[in-house]
Amino acid sequence: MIRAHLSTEQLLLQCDGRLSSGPAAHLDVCERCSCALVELTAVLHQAELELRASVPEETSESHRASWAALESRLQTIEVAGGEVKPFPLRWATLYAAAAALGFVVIGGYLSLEFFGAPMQAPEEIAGIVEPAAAPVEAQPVVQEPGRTGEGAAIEAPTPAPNQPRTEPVQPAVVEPTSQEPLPVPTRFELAEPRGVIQRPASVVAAEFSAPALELGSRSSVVLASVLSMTSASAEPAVYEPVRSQRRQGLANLSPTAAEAVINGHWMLYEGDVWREDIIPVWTAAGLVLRGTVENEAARERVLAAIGRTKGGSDVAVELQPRDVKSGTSTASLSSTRMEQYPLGGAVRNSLLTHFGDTARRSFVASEPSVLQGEIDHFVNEVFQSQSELLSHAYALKNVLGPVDREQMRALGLDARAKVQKLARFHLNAVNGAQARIYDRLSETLPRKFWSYRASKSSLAPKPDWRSEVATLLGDTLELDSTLTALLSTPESTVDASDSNLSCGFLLSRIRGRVRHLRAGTDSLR
Amino acid sequence: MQGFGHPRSAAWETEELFAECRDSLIRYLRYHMDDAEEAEDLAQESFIRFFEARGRDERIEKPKAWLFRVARNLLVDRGRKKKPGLLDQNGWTKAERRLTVSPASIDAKVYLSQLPWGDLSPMELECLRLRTEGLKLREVGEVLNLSISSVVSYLARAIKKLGAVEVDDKSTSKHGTAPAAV
Repeated sequence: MIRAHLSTEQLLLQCDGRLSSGPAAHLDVCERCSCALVELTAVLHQAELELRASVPEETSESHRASWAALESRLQTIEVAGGEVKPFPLRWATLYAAAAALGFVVIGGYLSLEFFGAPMQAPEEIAGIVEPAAAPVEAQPVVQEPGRTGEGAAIEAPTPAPNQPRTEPVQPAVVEPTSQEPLPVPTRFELAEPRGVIQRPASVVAAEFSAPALELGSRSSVVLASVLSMTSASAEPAVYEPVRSQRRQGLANLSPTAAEAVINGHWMLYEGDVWREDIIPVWTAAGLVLRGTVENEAARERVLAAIGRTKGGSDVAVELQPRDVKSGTSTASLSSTRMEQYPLGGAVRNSLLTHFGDTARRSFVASEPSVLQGEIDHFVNEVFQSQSELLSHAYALKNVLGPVDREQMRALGLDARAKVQKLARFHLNAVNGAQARIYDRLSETLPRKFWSYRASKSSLAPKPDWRSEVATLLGDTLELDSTLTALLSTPESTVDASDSNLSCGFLLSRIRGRVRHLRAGTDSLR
Repeated sequence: MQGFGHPRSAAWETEELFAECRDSLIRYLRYHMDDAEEAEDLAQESFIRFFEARGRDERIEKPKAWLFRVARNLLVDRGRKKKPGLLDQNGWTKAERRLTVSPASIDAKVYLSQLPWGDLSPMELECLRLRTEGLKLREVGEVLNLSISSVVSYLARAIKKLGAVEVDDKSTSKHGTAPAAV
């Protein structure tokens, strides 16, 4: 084991994969050298970024134009000795050959697929030349005297020279009639060309539509649970995703129905299940809480929560367990994003510097694993706050979106008080989440990464809170994508701050929207 | 990319090389010249040289390094012929000056220079540029006509100047400063 620390030259060789095994093994056991390697990589990254930032970036347009110019120049070149063929001729030949090959393959496949049985050898050839390729039913069975059974049949395809040949039996191909559908699966079972794995169209189609079929079979019957409703709502119905349904505007409802819908929102809030994908919908049968949950256990939990809060009111609940793989759970959102897009580039270097300095100040060894853990924790915190922000912005849009202030005044005092309380709850949560994101970003990252563009435009109050809420949700979504771009930058990306609006600008806009909405909803009563 | 010793079509190889290296080559040339059209001309000329060489069945083991070397030679030639001031002081003074990034020259959201570029010698800067364009150490050596150990030494000095933390210079005596174990 080599005990001396590695030099910068050796670390560079390690970056290039050229370090010999002895010093390379030292890297595995020496934390100091591992840290030095990390720092060296960080400096190389930073150098690459700054070098690239010092020249204008090339676009795909310029790349294409450059190739067109080069191609035209290459066409005029004649190399001495004529070894290089004329440019267009060579490419034309290549393309023509590729196109012809493609036509042959596609044509052959289509002819097999749509026009009767696959190619078969003539009867004589099928029996003599390719006996192994013939289908089992079509094997010419030659029985030797004195030998019977399976072994004799297996040896049949290799006849002796003087042995009389028997006529091969043709496979029983079912000829399609005009009345009968093509027996597609049978055809491929009977005769399968060698070297080509042929699959019937019905099988392929079934595979393509398998997830849909599976979903349909599960979702065709709604797992309806009626707490205290009439029997009509317990009828199985075809499930439609809640997100795709048109939101019910309270303006089209009678005051009683509108109050019932608000009551539905209140029940979800009281039961602490407002994060679920459930919305109250007014139907002819009354109020229905309709939506999707992650699985059966979540469904039971939601039903129990609503059962506690519904009081004496008649409410139907239609809940559909959704596919867990769809990734709609907000709990795993941040970790999923971190796994998909490893943080890299200049932001990573900056975070490494920050946490390395913090570790030194705290007299903690700045090991790579510790620094990585700090980075992961930071990213996770930011994404969790962002998920919280998104959840509340969505909920706020559900509550305030369907109705404006004038329509709200026509409702009863109790309904207005509930709307006001719901709005306050969500607005406070939105404000808290954005403040947490702001704090984490400002204490950890230089402003050039997350607050590089400031603007005072678009902060004027909207004429009504519906558009204000919609804008708030839009800003939250924009912040989500900007944060993802900032904190999930792949290693290969040069500039992590390439998004349109900075996080700082979006956070300030969200703060402004929250202020306007608070002012609007405070005067409800 | 595969080695270019195979008897394949020169045009095909040129197109592949163009797709792989064009942007980095243009960037490398732009480090040394302000004129975008001139950089484009030099890059095209380099690709044409490659096409012609492969058309003559010249064996090119490392096409990317070959291309960068041709481009660098063209750059030096052009600098000598047209702009004597371009490559004074060992050839790369102006190129060095380009790295004193001015905020007005780039978008304000992009980075201001954090590294002390002015401390680097021209050859250290050149090694670093080629390395950051994706060339391996041996390829950098081929472009600059240096041995690998020289390239590594230049790069190590550049990185030390740019701020990387040294582990322990005294304790490296067992391995030596020269990368013998390659």
